[in-house]
Amino acid sequence: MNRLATERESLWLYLHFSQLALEAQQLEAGIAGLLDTRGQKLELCSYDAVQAGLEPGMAIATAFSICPEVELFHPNPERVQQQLEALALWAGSFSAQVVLYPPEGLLLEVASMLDYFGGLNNLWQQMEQRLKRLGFQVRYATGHTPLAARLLARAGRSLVIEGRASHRQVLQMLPLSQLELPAKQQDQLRGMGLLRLEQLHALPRDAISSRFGVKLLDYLDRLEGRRPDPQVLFEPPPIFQQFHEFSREIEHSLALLFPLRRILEALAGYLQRRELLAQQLILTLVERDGGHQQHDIGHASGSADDETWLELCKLRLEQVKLQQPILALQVEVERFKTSQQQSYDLFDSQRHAEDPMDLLSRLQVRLGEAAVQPVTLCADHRPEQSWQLKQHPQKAVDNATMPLPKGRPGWLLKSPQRISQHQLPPHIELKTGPERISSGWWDAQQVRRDYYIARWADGRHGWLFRDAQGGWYLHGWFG
Amino acid sequence: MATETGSLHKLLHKGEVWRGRQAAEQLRHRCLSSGFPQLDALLPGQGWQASQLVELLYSDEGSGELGVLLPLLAELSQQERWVLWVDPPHIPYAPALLGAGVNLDRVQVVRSNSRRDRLWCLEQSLKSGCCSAVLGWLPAGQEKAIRRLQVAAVEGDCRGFLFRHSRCQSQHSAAPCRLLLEPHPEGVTVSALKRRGGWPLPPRLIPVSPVVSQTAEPDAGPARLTLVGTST
Repeated sequence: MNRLATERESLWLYLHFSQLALEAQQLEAGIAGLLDTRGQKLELCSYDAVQAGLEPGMAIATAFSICPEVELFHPNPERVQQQLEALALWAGSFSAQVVLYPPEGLLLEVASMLDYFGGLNNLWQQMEQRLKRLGFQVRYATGHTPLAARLLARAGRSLVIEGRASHRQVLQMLPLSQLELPAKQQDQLRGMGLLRLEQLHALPRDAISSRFGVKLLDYLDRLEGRRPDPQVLFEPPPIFQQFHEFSREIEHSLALLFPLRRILEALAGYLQRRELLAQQLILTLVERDGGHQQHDIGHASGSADDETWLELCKLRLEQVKLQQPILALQVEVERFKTSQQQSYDLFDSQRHAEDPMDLLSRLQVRLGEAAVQPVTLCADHRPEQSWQLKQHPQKAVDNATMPLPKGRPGWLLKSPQRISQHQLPPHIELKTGPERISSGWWDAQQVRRDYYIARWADGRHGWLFRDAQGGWYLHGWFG
Repeated sequence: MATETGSLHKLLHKGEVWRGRQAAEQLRHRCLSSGFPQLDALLPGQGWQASQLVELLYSDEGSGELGVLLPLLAELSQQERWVLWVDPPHIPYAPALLGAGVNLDRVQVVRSNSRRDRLWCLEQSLKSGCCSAVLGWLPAGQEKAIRRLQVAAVEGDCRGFLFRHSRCQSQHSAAPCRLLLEPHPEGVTVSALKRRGGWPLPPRLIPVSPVVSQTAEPDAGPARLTLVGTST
């Protein structure tokens, strides 16, 4: 294992979210555009907007005349940074080493994850699938160095390969204009007729440093991996708290699901990386008048799965009627639990039936905590006490040997039903009994009853008792 | 010739020949005995079929509606999956369930607040794949819902039991198996109103009676008792 680790070539994956400045503000796919800082022209256009005939650089007036329903956003760098950090959390599902490249890039170390995912292709497939669900446009590329991955991704290479040699080969054809060099240097290179990286490589190192300066040589060495290029890793915060302020008011609770999905995907990455399960999530909705609505959503056994949490949130939100438009939402995770690996493997594509606790949690979220309860037996002779629906079972006494009472009905009435005083009606015929049950002197619910099994005229059997005052009561049915 | 058609009829009549995609062998493989030979004989495949919705019709509690199921529930509750009761009319009484060998650890009772929630809950549980059996009490007039529930039962590989009033027997139902239960001094008579792979069958007496639970051994079954409070 160690030998493998040291021999393994480094491999990085860069994700360039080219439309992040716009997508971070959008609530759903649609015709939308981002204005430039002066608020006069379109800087970015969503996919739908391009389809509708809009394009970056277009003046606002033109955009509105082509497409009056276009939704325009002002730049909001803070929101973009928040979203990038959320994406970095999300990326925790795929790599333990994530680097932020603001405003719109993420670098992931993937070499050490290949065994876990069963190869680069598997890793990429799963990542691509989840990126699609998130709804961000992304350019991506692998690289044998951080810089190579970044340049190839920004150049739009959509490259997922392994190996130093193959990356070097691709880099050779990279236009020099894609290198992040000062404009003056770009002009200088062009002036010399140098267009692609291979042409620059053909020059002797001395010539490069004397003509273009040591900085370029240094840059090339980092690009090629001849010189180390240390990265500052993203550290996930100790608590999970994500706040999302909407660019417009939300009036229907289910419209919250789209931003919520992105947050929950981030949560999944956060939990995965820390090997935790979330047991309770607090969803806070900020209303227009400044008020808050708080929803506590629980999962009985804890889950790290974003789909599970989204389903639970959806169940809760379906029941929420918004009195006021919502301006922002916040997701906070209060209770964590360490995960037992394997059974909650996020990447198990063979995940069949859901976790049995998921079902109970879903039922509880919709019907209320007390709506789902187990049936347990308690050691008490009084019928009312000898069963219990309990939510939080007290410590069960294992192997407790209490003689199980015989001749008990399958149905117990919630409370005994009065039949008559003193005399049994003729259609009820006593079959067995009496069985005296008298206990409870130690608490307030003292009982002294004589129980009988009786047959009704229609053939059904009931469980009757006669109390100390001689009244007859029905207490159960032999179903 | 006459005897040949006779025996063929007999086979079809018994429900042992399944004239569909599924062979009878396969069918039987996916069946669990009801614990009553007389009842098995009524059920296609000689037992409760997997992934099937069964409608049990009766007029009042006490008609053997639990008795016919308890042996099956005792068996299914040994599995990992839940046995879920959705809105039972009374309290499922723990001592009786234990006496029949039901493992209470796997039993959950759900109380819904409305008819809509009840159907939602039944459908979710049936299709979740986390329940071995789902028992639900449904009022009349839910034909469309029953079709959905049957689909859900197949999806989640779950046995579904719908308890309905006997006056629903004339209504159309998508449930592949419909049984009418009527109390009888020595048990319960069961008539198959509808069954897949066979014709409706006349009533049969199934000896379900309170005596059964009376003679049950207290420590039979994997019962685990929870001690709460004090007792003499």
